Amino acid sequence: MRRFIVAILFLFILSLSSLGATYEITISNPKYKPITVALWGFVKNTPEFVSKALINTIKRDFLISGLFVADQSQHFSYEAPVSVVNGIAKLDNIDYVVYGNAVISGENIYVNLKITDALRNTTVIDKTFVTNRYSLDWMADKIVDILIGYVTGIYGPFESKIVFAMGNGKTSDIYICDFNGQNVVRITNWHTFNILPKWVSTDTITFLSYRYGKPAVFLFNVFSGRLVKLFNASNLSIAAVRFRNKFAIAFNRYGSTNIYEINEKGRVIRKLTNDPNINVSPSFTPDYSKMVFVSNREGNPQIYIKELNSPYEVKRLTFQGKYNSSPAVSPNGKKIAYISLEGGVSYLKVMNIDGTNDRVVMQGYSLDSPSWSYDSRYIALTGRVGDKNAIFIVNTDNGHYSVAMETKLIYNGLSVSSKLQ
Amino acid sequence: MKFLSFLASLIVHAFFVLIFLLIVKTPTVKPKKTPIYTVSLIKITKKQQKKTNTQINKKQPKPKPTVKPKPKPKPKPKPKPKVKPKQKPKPKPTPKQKPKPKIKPKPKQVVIPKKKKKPEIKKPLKKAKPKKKEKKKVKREKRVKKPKPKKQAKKPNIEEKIKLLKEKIMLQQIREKLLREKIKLLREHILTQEEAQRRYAQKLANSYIALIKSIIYNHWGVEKSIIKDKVFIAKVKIKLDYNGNLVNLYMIKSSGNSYFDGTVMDAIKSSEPFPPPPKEILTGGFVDFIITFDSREKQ
Repeated sequence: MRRFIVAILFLFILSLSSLGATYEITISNPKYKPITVALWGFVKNTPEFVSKALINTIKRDFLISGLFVADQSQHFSYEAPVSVVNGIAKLDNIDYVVYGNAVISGENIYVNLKITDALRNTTVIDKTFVTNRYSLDWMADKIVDILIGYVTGIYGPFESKIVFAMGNGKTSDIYICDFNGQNVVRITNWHTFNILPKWVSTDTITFLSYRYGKPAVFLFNVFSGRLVKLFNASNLSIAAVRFRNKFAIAFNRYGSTNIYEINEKGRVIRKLTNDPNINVSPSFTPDYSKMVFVSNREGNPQIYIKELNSPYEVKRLTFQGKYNSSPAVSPNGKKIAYISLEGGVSYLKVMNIDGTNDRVVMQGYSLDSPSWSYDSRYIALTGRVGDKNAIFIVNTDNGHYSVAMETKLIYNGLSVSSKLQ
Repeated sequence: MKFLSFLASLIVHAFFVLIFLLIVKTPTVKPKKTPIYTVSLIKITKKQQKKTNTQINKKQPKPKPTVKPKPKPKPKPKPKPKVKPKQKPKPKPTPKQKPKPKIKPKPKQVVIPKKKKKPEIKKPLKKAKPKKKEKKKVKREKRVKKPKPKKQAKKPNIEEKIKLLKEKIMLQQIREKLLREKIKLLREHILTQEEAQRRYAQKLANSYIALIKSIIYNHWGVEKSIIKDKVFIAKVKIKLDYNGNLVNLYMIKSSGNSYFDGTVMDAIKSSEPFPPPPKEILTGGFVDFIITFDSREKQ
């Protein structure tokens, strides 16, 4: 009984002592600090060609992401304890660490990966991936996407492909590359004019080709190589985009250019615009409830949005500049990217889907064909900035852009795929 | 800290309560003297009015009216609570005085002097008898005769003493009042001291808070493109010991973004060790802070 009383008294005194004042502090508006990522793996216990492929691609992706600064001052194998690695990272003022190794076994390459959070001293991922020598870059893209997803809350954009047209003015061909500009593959070699490629599914593109003399829109399966003529009833340079399970194409008919819905056999289903002027460049929200397009119905080319369900209302979105074109709705349906020409300078602008919060993201010359990555954060586009004629990847969150692929040739369209497996 | 101050205040209060009790006890001792005279006076006045008081009345005409009506109402309100408990058993022998409840203290005095009074009362009776009967009685008369002049001398003294006692009571009451006021003042003084201490501690806390705030802020950095239009708010609780060492750190509320939360945790860890907190803000050698990290610019 005495012990019980003593214990209660002790607890009482303890609780009294723990009733101290708690002071509140508020700290706001943090300073800018880049995210430093240590790329401390894939050197030890890793074949050299694997090491090169992984490290180079990861570094490239870090640069393009506009989010990370890479550090390569240390090397750790997969077996290194997380606590030790994080401790060293903390001393080096590192935020995250990517390390591990890769082992070849027959045709397979086993990539043992660890990503750690040195800020919180935790492990982000500890996993072994199986890949092959041809997919090492893709593996590296995946690693970076995982890290971006952890840091920002939105999975990274690198598991996608860019299709673009490039030529010398007389001929133009269709190419495909990774989102970071690596692994460029030419998919047409017809010595003709092939332009305005668009992804319409994860394995199919459309493009306009003069292969048979008269311009025609083709469907092309990039994996099987199957080519199908979709539409050839126009003499305009037009592009076809996905509209529900069909397509939307702008072409000239009865003296005016409107946007039409067509099926896979090229038959017109219905008119999506009905205006005596020029209406082109359709882009749809993910639910296909709204269509953003360019029209000169009020004199100059401007961006409009149309409700595709009743009451079919059309609303003008752009009022600044005399030439606004190439609208692209983000995959999340919240933003519109477009190109604005003013005084010979072209601007990449982004606004909300309702036309608000219109802002310049990038400035250059001959900027064209903006296309969103599947994370609705990055835009790939062609153009010239300074002395670089290139495909640029722009981070719309911070305006950072980097060159994915540079050439002296002329670009004739570009499109970014959705996330690929 | 609070507990210590609570203990200190308890001791101080107990001290004053003791003082107060001592003060209260002292007046209770004094009334013991009073009953000796006051009661006898009342009895004497009533009984002797017939015979002996004429002389006294001539000499001192004033006391008569003053003894009966005047002194009674005055002591009524004040001495009652203090004297009553002691006088309760005594009022029995003095039923005559019942209508005058305020004179209750006097009946007490009646009980004690009874021994003296008895001879006084008998004396006049005996005086008449011994002159005719025995010599022994004459001796007694002689013995009795001796106190007579004493009584006559005492009567005015008693009245004076009553007055003195009343004055003393008044003085005691005044003293009590003064003491109460002093106690009040002391209490107020203690309170103001506590308030001053509290304010001082608050000032120290504020300056210390400003210090650690700037230290943490200098270690806090975020890649702002992660924030962009979003609002991230994270709450962290830290416990520091008397040396400023980080004893405990945990996140009360996450911002929902692991990177932002990480920068917050890192900022605190990087700021360690903190400067030693002032003793005044410590509780059991520790001090707790709840820190809110807000990605927005301060309005």
